[in-house]
Amino acid sequence: MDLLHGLMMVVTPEYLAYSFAGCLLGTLVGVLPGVGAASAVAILFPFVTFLPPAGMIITMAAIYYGAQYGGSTTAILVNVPGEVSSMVTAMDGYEMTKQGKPGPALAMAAIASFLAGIAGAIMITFVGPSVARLALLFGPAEYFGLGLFSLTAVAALAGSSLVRGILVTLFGMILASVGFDDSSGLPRLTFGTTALLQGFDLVPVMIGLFGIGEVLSSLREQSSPITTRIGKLMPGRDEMRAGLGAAGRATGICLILGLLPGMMPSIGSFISYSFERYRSRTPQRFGRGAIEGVASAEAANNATAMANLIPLLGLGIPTGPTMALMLAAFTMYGIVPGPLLFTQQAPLVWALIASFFIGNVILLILNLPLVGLWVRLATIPYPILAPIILVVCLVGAYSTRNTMFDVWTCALFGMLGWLMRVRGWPLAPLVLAFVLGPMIERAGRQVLAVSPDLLLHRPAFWFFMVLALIVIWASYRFTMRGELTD
Amino acid sequence: MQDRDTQLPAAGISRNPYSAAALARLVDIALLLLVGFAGIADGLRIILTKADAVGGVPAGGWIVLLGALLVAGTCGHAVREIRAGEDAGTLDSGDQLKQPVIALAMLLIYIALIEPLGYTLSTALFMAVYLRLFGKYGVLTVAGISIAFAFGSSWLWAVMDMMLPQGPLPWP
Repeated sequence: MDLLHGLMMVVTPEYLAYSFAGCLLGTLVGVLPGVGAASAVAILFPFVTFLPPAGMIITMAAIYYGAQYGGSTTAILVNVPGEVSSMVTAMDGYEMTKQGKPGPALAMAAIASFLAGIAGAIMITFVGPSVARLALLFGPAEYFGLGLFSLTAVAALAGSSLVRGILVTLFGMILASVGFDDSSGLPRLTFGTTALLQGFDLVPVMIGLFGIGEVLSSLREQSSPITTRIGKLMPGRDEMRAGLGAAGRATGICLILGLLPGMMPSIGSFISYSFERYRSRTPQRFGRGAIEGVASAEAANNATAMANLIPLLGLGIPTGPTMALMLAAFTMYGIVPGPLLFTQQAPLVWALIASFFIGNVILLILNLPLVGLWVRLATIPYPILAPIILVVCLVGAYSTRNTMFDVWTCALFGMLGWLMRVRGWPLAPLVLAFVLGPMIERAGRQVLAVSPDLLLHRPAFWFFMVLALIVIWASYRFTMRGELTD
Repeated sequence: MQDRDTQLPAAGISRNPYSAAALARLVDIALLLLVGFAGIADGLRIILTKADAVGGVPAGGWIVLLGALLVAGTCGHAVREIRAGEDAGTLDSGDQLKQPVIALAMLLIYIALIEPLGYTLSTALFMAVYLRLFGKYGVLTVAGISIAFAFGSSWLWAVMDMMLPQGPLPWP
């Protein structure tokens, strides 16, 4: 019934326009070589802040899945993945392009993304409210445990080294402490400067790390211009059957895995691809243009992204950088994602969930016929594109609080993001530490204020600690086997 | 046969990868230690001087704890990497680093100019220099793209109610 109300709301011309604009903008930015979904959301975030709350959140979500689809286009056509998750798509997608089958690869990517998106929206509809009800039982001890588990999981899963992940997390938590302390009102790590009193805002930090950092990294790489003719678009019957099967399996796996903090779309794609290759009778075809490879990677990508929304909406815990920005979008309007969201902001939440259904349909309609246009957009020379993206990033950072401090913050974190990429340090733990660090501190201090013994009597806290240990163990095992990549 | 020490590295490979990688590793470690020690120092300052304030000790204690963990973890990581001789990161050669470093320097100069010159003028200037340097386009093309983008984007931001520094040029 709630979903029906949400659907009624989003099929109005105003909300359809938000979904459409988000899908269009997301695909447009995501299709640009070297710009991933997280970067697209970060860059475009400040430009949608003038919209009403529901409009902004719906547009942001549409930008996210639009950009994810856009990223796969350049991955398939020129072997330039906009983000890590598209690298898996590029493995077989680009091979299909080289074999003269870019159309079926693009179409399968769109269809698999669509199916996974719809399945994800159904899962959010049914599981989201239950998770929120469960979270109503959570107190400071549980949130302290959940926060620690989330950060551990992100640190363990985001890169090739657990130690590097943990060090980046601690680094991010210290940077997140800059400015006035919420509880005591005391300035921390400001060293007497008034500019630092307000602390680092998440939006300029994200724009810097993902927007500017990615542009600077892309300057090192030379992307080849797209000269491919798309030709026939739809895959043959056998290819379609194989692709749909792979997409279904990847969706199933990643809808479950995506509930875990730190399980970002890139990891879901790698796991699903590996699973598909493992179960195939002809694993040697993978990496040489197997349509199942494209379908599994793209479905996994979208399914994980959709499942990631459940912890965000139900628990208020972001599972990756893009979800951290979604959280920032909610909090901008004084809306706190978490247990009470489904009751206190029911119309907004159900409108958002309904928009996933509509948005995925819009994306399918938009992308298949317009693929030629996206291809042409991707041919804009990078020397023209790069300064435009840099300027847009800085304008976005400035507009967050109308201060030059945020512009400098953005540039500083841009430099940091670039250096971290060059040196192989994972970025996701830094962003998550920015969001979860203050939450963990607040919960920890509340526990201390009551009694540290409180932790001993809360089984949920110990459950999260055991989960954290399992993630560390699993990460160690996978790292030893070289299966976890950044 | 060419002597090993006089062999020229292939394009894109650092001339002295060992010292360059060691230097980069040193920068990583120094930055982490700097932030860690900053946390410890400021946390101790709060604990020692603001102990009477409500929440003063936990406020300082938190960043002391984070700083101490970061310093200890960084030292352990550095020792492990040096012992194993491993380095998960990569280091580009000077040629590959040149473009990002120049772009970054230009970006910082552009930011410094936004307030005195205003958004439109500084953007036109930044675009022109960038396109000329990296795009190798002709003067007319550079001027056309830079002016069109600077004025067009200024107008767009104004339509979106974004207040950017105007400088001496009152546009739009």
